[in-house]
Amino acid sequence: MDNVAAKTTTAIQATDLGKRYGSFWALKDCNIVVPRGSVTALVGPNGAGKTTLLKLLVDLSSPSAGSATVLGMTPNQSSGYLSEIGYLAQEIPLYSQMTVEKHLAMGAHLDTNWDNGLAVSRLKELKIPMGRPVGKLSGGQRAQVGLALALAKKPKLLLLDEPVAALDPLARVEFLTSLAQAATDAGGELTVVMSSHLLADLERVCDHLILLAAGETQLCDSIEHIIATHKLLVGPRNEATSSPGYSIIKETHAVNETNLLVRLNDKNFRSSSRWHVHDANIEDIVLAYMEQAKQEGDER
Amino acid sequence: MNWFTWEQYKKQFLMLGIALALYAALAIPLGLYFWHTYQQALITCKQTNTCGRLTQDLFQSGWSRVLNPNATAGGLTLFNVAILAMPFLLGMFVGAPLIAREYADGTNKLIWTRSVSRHKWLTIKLLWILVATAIFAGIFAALTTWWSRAGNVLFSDHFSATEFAMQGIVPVGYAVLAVSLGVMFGALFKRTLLALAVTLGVLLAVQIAIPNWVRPHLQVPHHTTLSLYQRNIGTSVGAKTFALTVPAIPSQPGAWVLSSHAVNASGQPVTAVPPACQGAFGISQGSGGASDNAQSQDPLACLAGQGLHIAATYQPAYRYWDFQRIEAGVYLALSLIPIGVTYWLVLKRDA
Amino acid sequence: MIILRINTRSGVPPYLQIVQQIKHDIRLGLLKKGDKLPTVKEAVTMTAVNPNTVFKAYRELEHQGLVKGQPGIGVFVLNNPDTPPADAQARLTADLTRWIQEARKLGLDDEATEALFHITLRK
Repeated sequence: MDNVAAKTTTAIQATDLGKRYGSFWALKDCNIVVPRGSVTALVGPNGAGKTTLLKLLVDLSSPSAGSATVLGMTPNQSSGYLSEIGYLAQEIPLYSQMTVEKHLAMGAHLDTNWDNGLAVSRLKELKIPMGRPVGKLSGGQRAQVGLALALAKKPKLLLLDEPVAALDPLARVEFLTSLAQAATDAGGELTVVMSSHLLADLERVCDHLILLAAGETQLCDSIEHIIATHKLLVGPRNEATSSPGYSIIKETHAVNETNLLVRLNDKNFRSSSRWHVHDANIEDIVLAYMEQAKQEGDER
Repeated sequence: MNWFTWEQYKKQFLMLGIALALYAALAIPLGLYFWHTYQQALITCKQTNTCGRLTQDLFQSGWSRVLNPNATAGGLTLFNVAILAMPFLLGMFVGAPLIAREYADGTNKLIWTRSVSRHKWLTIKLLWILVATAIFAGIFAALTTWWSRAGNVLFSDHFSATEFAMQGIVPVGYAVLAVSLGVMFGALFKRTLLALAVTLGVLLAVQIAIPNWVRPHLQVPHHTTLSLYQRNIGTSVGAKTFALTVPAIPSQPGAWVLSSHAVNASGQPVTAVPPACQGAFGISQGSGGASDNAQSQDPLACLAGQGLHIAATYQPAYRYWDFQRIEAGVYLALSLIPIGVTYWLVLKRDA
Repeated sequence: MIILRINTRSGVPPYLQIVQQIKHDIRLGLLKKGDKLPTVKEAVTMTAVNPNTVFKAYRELEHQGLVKGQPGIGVFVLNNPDTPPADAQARLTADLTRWIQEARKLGLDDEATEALFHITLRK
């Protein structure tokens, strides 16, 4: 029964998932759970293994350690699996000589659940010239074609690798709007995992967050819960900072003030009257973890 | 997947079609011209009893405008080089980019995340390309065989290394092998230019190795001994040594001579000039000196007088199509290796 | 129809920004009783936020008794928020004005006053 429940509510579960190239671990000990219907941000410093993780999930790469279960299946080459996964690689690869129309025809011929009407209406709405070779489109237009190709597959899981990294601010917002609209249309049937460095964008469009850093899964939770369990404590300098109520992620000192970014271990934690408790925003929290991971990496 | 493969490569298919059409436009009039003038000349020479110098006459009458007049056998014209290059070009420009380009452009990540398995993708792609290659090379070689028929009869050289590689069904096998190798190196290096260069290198090595070291042994050669009283014996002379070779076996027109050398009456190879013939070879004997009589003697006649013959091994002309079949089969079988490696690379290796 | 805005730099969670904006619009009378809120799709198109965020914001507003969702039709403004009686509001405003004047007299500038107010509010 547990398995059935897990299958219906979990889109991705990775257990100790790792990928090694020679002696170098591109991804190590990755343990994540992504609930169905969520829009999950995948963040972390360069080289943390975000691209590797996404490739493992879409079976472009096979794991060296651990395992992943995606939509109740182990990633594989069956069309039953591949048709459930939409994937957009970082460089947004397209056949530059081929027209937009031909790309859609490609999807129509190669994808089991292809919804051509969806792709056409989506691209026409964005005024993308259907008869033009994609090599002559702008970066934003290419990204939209790539997204349309992934979405018209009617996937249950959409994996996007830094899709907005190369886009100008307007194209970025347009892309994210398209993505959010697609998630709305799917009505909870679509799970999205999107890696990016643009934390502000992610907070807008995502409701879950996975933070990979220093070869570990630092965070994997709903953004709401992450914000609820992380606080910024501001208090006097030269006072004992540790407490069983929280773990310190980042500690900064000024002349007569100490700032702590902490993860609460105890839901009912109350600070002493000398400490002020502030909400932390997701960007601060993510940066604090990344700094911590970097320091640990440097010390090693 | 079939539609997409067609869509992806239709420009290449079109270009191959154009290449064939151009070649046919050249080869058909050429073949008609050769055959027609050859037939005419044959009638004329029978009347005038000059068929012994038919080849020479034909060259003078205008073949030299098309063929290299010195190319009585095995000589290479630019035209020949272009025909021989066909499998190489296919391997380099059809085979090598096939998968390398997908890797280089990252489009493998687009196509491998459609609802079609990589296995199916590769199978259909390879089928289309290899079948197209075989059809193209088949028609190409058929055209070459057709326009070469007058030359084949006249020069009896269709067993020579270059003619053998240009005509019959061997070009089909070789083109399939070339494209398979190109595909494999493309999948291995993921870069078109490198794959292209390595493909060329390996194909050149195969093209040198097979005619020299493999083809002669495909069937056990025939042996024969030839008298020294005949035309076309090649003679080379060293300080006190000599070597005799024959380009053809007189009683076996079109046979492929593998080896030929001088032997004595008991069949032992001879390389040292016999003392009695040193005069005829113009070798000073230090003491005594050669007689005027000996000096004026023909060296070959002198050797013949010493009981020498030429021993030759050859593959008779009637084996030509056996050899074509065997070698084409060998190339097709060899193609399975790069094809298998390509499957392994594409399916087992990370994108 | 109102236009929803999201400020990704504010640090306020997006769902809360939507809640605050709609509450604000109701208070200002930009949204009146019976007005229809943007559909989730419209809201998503305006803000590029996750649809779950819009759902959550609307649920929160419903929970606060400000709007009512009618399945398949839309979400409608129910009522103006409970505000204190007019005289009580006037009295509070007068008290606050007095307090601000005193703070100014003691040399606090606007920023310091605001900080003090916020700190006290959160205690």
